[in-house]
Amino acid sequence: MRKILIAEDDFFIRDIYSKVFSLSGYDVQVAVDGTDALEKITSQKYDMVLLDIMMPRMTGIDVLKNVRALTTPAKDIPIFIITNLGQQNVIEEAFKLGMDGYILKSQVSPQQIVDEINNYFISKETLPQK
Amino acid sequence: MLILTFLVALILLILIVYIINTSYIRAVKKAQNDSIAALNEAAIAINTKNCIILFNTAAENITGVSVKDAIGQPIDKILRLSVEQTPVLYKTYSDSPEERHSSTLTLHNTNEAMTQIIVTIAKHAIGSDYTLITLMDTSKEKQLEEMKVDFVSMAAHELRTPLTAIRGYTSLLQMHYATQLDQSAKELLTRLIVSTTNLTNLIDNLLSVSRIERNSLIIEAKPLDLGIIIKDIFSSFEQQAHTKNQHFTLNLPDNLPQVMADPFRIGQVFINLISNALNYTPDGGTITVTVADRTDHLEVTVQDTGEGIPPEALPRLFTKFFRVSGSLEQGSKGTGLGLYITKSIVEMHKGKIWAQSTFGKGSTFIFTLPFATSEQKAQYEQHTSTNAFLTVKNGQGIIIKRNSGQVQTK
Repeated sequence: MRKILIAEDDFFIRDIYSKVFSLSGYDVQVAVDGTDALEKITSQKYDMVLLDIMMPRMTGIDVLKNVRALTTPAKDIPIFIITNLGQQNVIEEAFKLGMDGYILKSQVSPQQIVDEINNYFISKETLPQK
Repeated sequence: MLILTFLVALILLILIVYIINTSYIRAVKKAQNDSIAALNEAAIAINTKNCIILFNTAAENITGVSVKDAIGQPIDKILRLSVEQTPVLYKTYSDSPEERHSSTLTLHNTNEAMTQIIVTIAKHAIGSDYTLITLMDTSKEKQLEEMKVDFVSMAAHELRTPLTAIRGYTSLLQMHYATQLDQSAKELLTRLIVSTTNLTNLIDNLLSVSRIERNSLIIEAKPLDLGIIIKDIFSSFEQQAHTKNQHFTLNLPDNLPQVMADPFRIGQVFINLISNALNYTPDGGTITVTVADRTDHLEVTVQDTGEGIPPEALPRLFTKFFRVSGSLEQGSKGTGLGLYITKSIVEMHKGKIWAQSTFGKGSTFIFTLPFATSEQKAQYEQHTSTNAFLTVKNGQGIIIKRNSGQVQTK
């Protein structure tokens, strides 16, 4: 079972994502803000992290920055940004910082996010390893 | 003796009338001065020698000159105005045969700060000897307009959060719990989803309008085969047309030249025109979509045999919040924002959009998009090779951006 961390400060959105990922066969853990997310990423092993950007205490962009600066294996964990911020400069910044995907949450249903994450794992498995 | 008494009485009478009259005039003048002083608008009165005789608090604020420094001074010394850095004197801006006229000028206050104002000159406004000058700060108006746009944008964003939750839970119910619902509960769920979709569109439209008004609607144009997008969207509406028994046809020539367009935004334009055509055409009507090559641009025509647009409504069709009168009573949905957004998007693509209609017989909407030039194509190729993320967008508004596999790990 794939273990996924969902970092999202809105209670309802967090609840919906947890439910839809659990129902699709993922082992789901949640973080309620950026600091919580970073703490969990450094102390536990995940197959994927979904990060909101606008979160209290630490933004998703700062979590991403901190994770990619780690010296432990957690630094290479796949990270998808799931946000309502669609500005090109935010996307480009996240891209430069080493995000693996960017999903605008207002434009997709929770199930489409699950499908996208599933596809990501499938394409990763079929890609030749370097 | 009698004559003398009479004269004294007459003089006394005249004196009384005079005193009453002057005190009355004084009272009126005072009331006039007081009301001018209380105006929010800056007001300055000058006499025939162009010297200031009245200067209200708002005038003090806008010019930075205090009333005691202003009274008695020539107007040009206190009120420093200019047009594009060139000073303008009272003689120039007051020169008009009309009793009352306005001009837009720049005001320099005592701190050299500049404000855009509308100066209105009203000659003989308070007695034949005086001219009233009022100054209206237009930056306030602009600020109000910006506040309005900000408010709409903020409200729409705030509404989006709970709406995302509502949409999330309904889609969870539909995707994962539908088997546990009986038939009537499923029907209720369907209605919930339809209403949620309508609310989502409404909020998205409001956000689009506020982005258009603050010039922050981003068009990510790239060389595009418009035919593919049109075909996709066309087929997504076929079911809806079928249920209303409408003849729904697409004339799409092969090998059309590419246009420079944002696939998502142009998709919005096309979706809007088609859904309007389907909604305003009765059962059994005809909707025809035609794409034509016009030498240096593509022309897309959406023609219907619906109720049409009254001639008086045609010129205002693309303005914000405009709705054809009567459509509200007929219960048709819509916010009057769709065509405004559509026109703005087309124009941002350097295209044109217009409508023709015979009332009662149907409408035709036409928009154009210029061909992509070879320079634009080359520029885009270069841009994408340096910009390695993959963009997946389709006409339904799904936006997912994902790093292409090769570049993601170090």
